[in-house]
Amino acid sequence: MTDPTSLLPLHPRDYLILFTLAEGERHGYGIVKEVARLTDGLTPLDPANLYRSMKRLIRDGMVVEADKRPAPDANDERRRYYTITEFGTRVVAAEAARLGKLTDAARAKKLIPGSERPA
Amino acid sequence: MNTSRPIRGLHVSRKLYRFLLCLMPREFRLAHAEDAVDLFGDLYSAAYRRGGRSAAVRLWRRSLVQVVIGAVAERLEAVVPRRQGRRPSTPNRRRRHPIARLRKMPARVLQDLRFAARSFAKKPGFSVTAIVILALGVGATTTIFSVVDGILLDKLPYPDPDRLVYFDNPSHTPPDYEDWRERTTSFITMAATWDRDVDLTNDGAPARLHAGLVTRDFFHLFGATPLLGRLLVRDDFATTTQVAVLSYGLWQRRWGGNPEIIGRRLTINAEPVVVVGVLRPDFAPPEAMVGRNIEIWTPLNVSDPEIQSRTLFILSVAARLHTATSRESAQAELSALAEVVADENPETNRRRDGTARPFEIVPLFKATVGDADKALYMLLGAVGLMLLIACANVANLFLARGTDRAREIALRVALGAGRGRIVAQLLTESVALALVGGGLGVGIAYLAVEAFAVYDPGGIPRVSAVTVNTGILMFAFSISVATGVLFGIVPALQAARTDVTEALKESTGSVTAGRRRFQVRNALVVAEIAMALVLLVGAGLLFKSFMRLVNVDPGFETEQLVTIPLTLGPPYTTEQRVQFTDNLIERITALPGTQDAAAGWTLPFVFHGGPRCCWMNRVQQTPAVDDPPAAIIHPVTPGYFRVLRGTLTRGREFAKEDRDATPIPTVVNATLAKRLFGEQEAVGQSLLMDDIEVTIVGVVSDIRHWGLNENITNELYVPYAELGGDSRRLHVMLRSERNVTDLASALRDAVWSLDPNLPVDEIITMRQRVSTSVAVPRFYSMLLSVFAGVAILLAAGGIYGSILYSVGQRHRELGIRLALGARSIDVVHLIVRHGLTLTAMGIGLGLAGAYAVSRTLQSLVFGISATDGATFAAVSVLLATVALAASYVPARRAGRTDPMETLKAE
Repeated sequence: MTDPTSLLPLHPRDYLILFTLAEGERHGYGIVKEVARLTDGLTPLDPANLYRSMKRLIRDGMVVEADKRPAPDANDERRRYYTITEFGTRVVAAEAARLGKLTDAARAKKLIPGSERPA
Repeated sequence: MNTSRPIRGLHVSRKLYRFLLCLMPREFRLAHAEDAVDLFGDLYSAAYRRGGRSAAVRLWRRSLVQVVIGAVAERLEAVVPRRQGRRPSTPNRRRRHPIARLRKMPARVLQDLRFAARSFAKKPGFSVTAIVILALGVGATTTIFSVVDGILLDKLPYPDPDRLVYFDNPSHTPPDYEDWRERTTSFITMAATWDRDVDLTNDGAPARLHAGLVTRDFFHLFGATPLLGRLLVRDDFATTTQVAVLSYGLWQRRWGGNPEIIGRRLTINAEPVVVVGVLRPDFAPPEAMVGRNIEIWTPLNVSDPEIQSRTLFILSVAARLHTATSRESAQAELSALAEVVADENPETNRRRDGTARPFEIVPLFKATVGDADKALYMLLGAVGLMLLIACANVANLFLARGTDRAREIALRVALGAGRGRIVAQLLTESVALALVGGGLGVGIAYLAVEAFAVYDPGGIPRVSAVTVNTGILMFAFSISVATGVLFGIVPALQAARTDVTEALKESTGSVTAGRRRFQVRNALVVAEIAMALVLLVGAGLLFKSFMRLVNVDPGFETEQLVTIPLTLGPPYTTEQRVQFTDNLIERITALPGTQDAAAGWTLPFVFHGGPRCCWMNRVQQTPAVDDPPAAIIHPVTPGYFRVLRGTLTRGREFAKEDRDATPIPTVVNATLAKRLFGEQEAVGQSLLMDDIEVTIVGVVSDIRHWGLNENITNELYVPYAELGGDSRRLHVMLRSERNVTDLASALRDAVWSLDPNLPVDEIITMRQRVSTSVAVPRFYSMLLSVFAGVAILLAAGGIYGSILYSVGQRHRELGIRLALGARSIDVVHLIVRHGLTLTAMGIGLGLAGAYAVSRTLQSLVFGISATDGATFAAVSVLLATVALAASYVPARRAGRTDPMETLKAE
C-alpha cells in the first residue's frame, strides 16, 4: 500500500470531496450539496471539476464507485454512489493533520484573531 | 418532491451539457459523462427551483467555463503527465505515448488537410461530383432524421411527460370521467377536453373558431403558462360569466397582438365571453386530445346536468400518474372500476356480450404518435439505403482516382512513408470531402425541414416539433465522418497495399489492370444496384398502392361539387334551422351556374378518418330481432343523393312532400340493407331507431363517407326537416360549373343575406376534401419515389462510371482486339455484357433483399400485397433498362476506338 503522505498536499477540492465521503457514501449531487454547505458556497463544485477530481481519486485508490441506485432527491432516477476507501480515509486524515498543523502554527502567530486555542 | 412543476429547459440543458462534454477526452467521457450529465440536471433543477431562469443562467455560465478549463487541463495532462509521483502503480497506463509523437499530431493532420485541398483543387470535376453526391445523401438522411427525431424520439413538451397517460378510445362520457376522477387513486391530475367549433360574431368579421373546452386542471396538467393575463381558475367553472383564454396565434391574427385584449367582451355562440388571458406561443396543445390548432380555450364544466349521460361520448381524457404508481397498476385499478361501474349502470356500461365497457389507458406519447412510427422508420431506412448507395458511388470514384494515384503513392512509400501514414492521409482526404458534402447536406436539410413544415400533409402528428437542432447537427456531423470513413477505407486500404516496384515499373496504360481493384469496383456496383432495387420496390409498392387508393369509387361524383360548412348556433330554434336551410338552398340554386344544391348534417369526407362525429344508434327491425346493428344516421335534405350523384338502387330519395309524413321515410345504404334483409326487398320495411319508427323508401349504393380506405359502415339517412333541426351542424353542397374561387364570395353573400352574423369559412370543393384525405399516403409515396429516383440515378452513374473506367483501363486490350480483326460491334458486346452481368447480379441480390424487407411495408400499402409480383418485375425491368443504357454509352465509345491510335501510343 502506498504511503498516504506521498499524495499530500491534496488539492482542496479533493480534500473536500474525501471529507464529505468520510461521513458515508454519497452520490454526485449529495457531494455538491454537502461541499456547498461546508464552505458556505465559497467553493462551488461543477460537474466537470467534481468528476475530474473523482477520476483522480478513483485512479489513486481513494474512492470507489458503487452501482447506480435510486436517489431520494432526484425524482426516482438512479444515481451513482461513491464510497471512500480505507486508504482514502488515511489520506484525508493525513491531510487533515497537515492542515491542522498549519492552523496551529497560524494560531501560534496570532494570525487568527479571537480564538485562543485551549491547548 | 414537486414533480409536476415544470423545469423549463431541463431537457435541452442536459442535451447541451452532454454535447459540451465532447470537449473532454474520450477516457473521461466513457467513465463519467453520464453521471456528470445527471448531476448537471440535478443542479439545474435545483437552481431553477431556487432562483428561476437567472439562477439557471448563472449555473450555465459557470459550468461552461469549468468544462472548457477542465477539458484543456485533462487533455494537457494526457500528453504531459503532471506529476510522476501521483501516477498509480496500477494499470491504466495505456496513454503513455511518446510525447513528441503526440505533439506532432495536429501538425500532421493539418499537413494532410492541406495536401487534400490541393489534390481536390487539381481535379475539380471529381471533387464537385463527390461533394454533390454526398450532400444529397447526407441532406436527405439528415432531413428524415430530423423528422423522426422531432416526432418519435423527442419527448412530449410537457413536464414529466413519461407519466402522462391518455384514456384510450377517442371519446368518453362525462359520468365515466367523473368516476375516474373521484374513484381512483392512481392519478395526480386528470383533465378532459371537448373540442368543437364556435362562432365569434363581434369585434370584426364573423368567424368560426376551433375551440377547446377544458376542465380545470388541463393547463396545469400540460404545464401551460399565460403570456398575458391568466389561465382558467376554479371560479371560472362555477360562475355564470363565461371567460376564455386565447391562443397566441388567434391573438396575433385577429387582434394584431394588441395587449389590451384582456377584459375584452367577445360574442361567442351568441353569448358574452370575457377574455382573461393569452397563452404563450410555444404551448403545443396535446394532439391526442384536441386539434393542433385550437384558437380559443373555454371552461368545461363536466358536472353540468345537461351532459350527464353515459351515452354521450364527447370527452378526451388525459392524466398524470402518481409518482409511485405504475401504468400497469393504474390500469388494474381502472379495470376493477369498470366492472363496478358496469354493475351500477348495466344499461350503458355493460356490453351485449356481458363484458364491462373497458376503461383503458395508454401512454400519451403513444396516443399522440399513433402508427406514424412505422412509416417514418420506413422512410429512415429508405434514406439510409440511399446514403449507402451514395457512399458506394463515391467509393467508386475514389477507387478510380486511387488507380491514377498509384504511382504517387508508390513513390511516397518508396521514399519511406509508412502504410499507416498513407491510410491516414487518404482517410483525411475522404473525411474532409465528406464534411464539405455534409455541410452542404445540412443546408439542404434546413431547407427541406422548412419545406416539410410548410407542406405539412396533415395527419402526421407533431409536425411542429420537427426542427434542425444541435442534436441533429451532431447527427449530420457523425454521419458525414462515418460516410467519409466508409467510402474512404476501401480505396485507402487498396492504395496502401500498392506493390511499390510494380507500380513504379508499370507504365500508365498496362494491358490489364490490377484484377483486385476491378473486383472491388464491381462488387460496389453490384451492391449499388441491389440497394437501388430495394428502394425501387418500396417506392413502386407505395405508388401502386396509392394509385389503387385514389381510384377507389367513393360512391358519388366528386367533380364540380362545392361544400359550405355552417354552424347554426343557439339562437336558432329547430324550426328556424329548417327554415334557414330551405331558404339558403333556394338562394344558392338561384345563383348563376348552379345546377343543384342540397344539405345535410355532414357530407362525405367532411370527417375523414372514420366516424367520430355523428349520431349513431341501433336500428331495430319490427318485429325486433336479437342483436340489432348500429348505424350512423345522417339527416339530409331532399335532393341530397341527386346532388351527390349517388346511385339509388331501389326506391326513391326524399321529396319535399315527405316533410310531415308518418312514419318517417328513410333511405338505407346497401350495406345496411344487406345486413338487415339479406337478398329480400328492403323498400317498404319498417325500422325502429330508439322509439322513432321509420319506413324504408330507398336503398342507395354505399357512399364512402369517412375516407377512401375506411370501411363502409351501416348508414341510414333521414329527412333533415323532421329529425335534423335540433343540431347546430349543417353542411350545404352545390354543383356548379363555376370556379370555387369565383363562387365563394357569392356564396358568402347568399349566407349573409339570410344571417349577417353567421361565419362562413373554408368553402372548398369536394375534390379538395378527397385529396386532403389521402395527403399522408401521397406524401409517403412521393418521398419514397424521390429517394428511389435519386437511387436509380446514382446507380446508373455508378455503372456508367465503372464501365467507362474499365474501358479506359482496357484501352490497349480493346485496340489490339480491333487490330486483330474484331468488329466494333463485338467490342460493344463485350463491354455491355460486362455491365449486364453486374446488373443481373445486383438485381438478383436486390430482389432477395426487397422480398425480405417488404413484409415491413405490408401495413403501409392498401389493396395490394407487399410482395406484389408485378411491382417486383416492373422495377427490375426498369433498373435493367437503365443499366443497359448506362453501359451502352461507354461501350459504343470503346467500339469506336481507333486501333492505330492505341498501338501508336505504345
